[in-house]
Amino acid sequence: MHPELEALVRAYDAVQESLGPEAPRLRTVFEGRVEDALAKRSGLSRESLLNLIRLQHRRWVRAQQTPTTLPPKA
Amino acid sequence: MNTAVAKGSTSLAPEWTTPGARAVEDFARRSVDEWLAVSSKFLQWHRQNRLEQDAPPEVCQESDRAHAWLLRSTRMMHGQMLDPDFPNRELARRVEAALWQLEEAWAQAHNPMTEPEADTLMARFFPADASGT
Repeated sequence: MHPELEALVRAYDAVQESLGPEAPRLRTVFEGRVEDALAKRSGLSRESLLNLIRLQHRRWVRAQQTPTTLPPKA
Repeated sequence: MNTAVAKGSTSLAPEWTTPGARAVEDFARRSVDEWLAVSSKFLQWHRQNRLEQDAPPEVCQESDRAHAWLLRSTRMMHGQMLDPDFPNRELARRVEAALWQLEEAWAQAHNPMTEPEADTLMARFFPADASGT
């Protein structure tokens, strides 16, 4: 995955998983990354980017569950 | 107008003495905390059953009904906290964060973007070869 998209997915996951008072700050981080990504890509709408992040996040979460080719950390 | 309070309730108002006011605030905070715990528990279940895997259609339907109720109630709660005079901003921010999580979980479960559309967008705007991978 493109590193910038992966960073967006990870930032999105951090907000989704946050429970306490950290959530608003993490959301600000995520929104900032979204704005940066949009500013660099004319022709990409905010809604399309958010839907792409949502879909990639699902793929990413599922990929975390399945064993990869990498050996587990010792 | 019928001003009767619920049977068994304590007399929090209309006196608004200091202890009464404190009790109201404590009650509000406890209620919101309880609500946020319910929301959090639902979101945890949602992640395990609808994000990490595909749930059967009947499970999705039931979960959507519960999800819709959680969204309505949280929006209502958040709406009350948008009052500029609402005294507990920290509580308001936590409810806003929970609402965002609920709305995103819903948007994710009902994402109109298909996998091929996502792949097309990625190829155009986030090409893998630009990442050096």
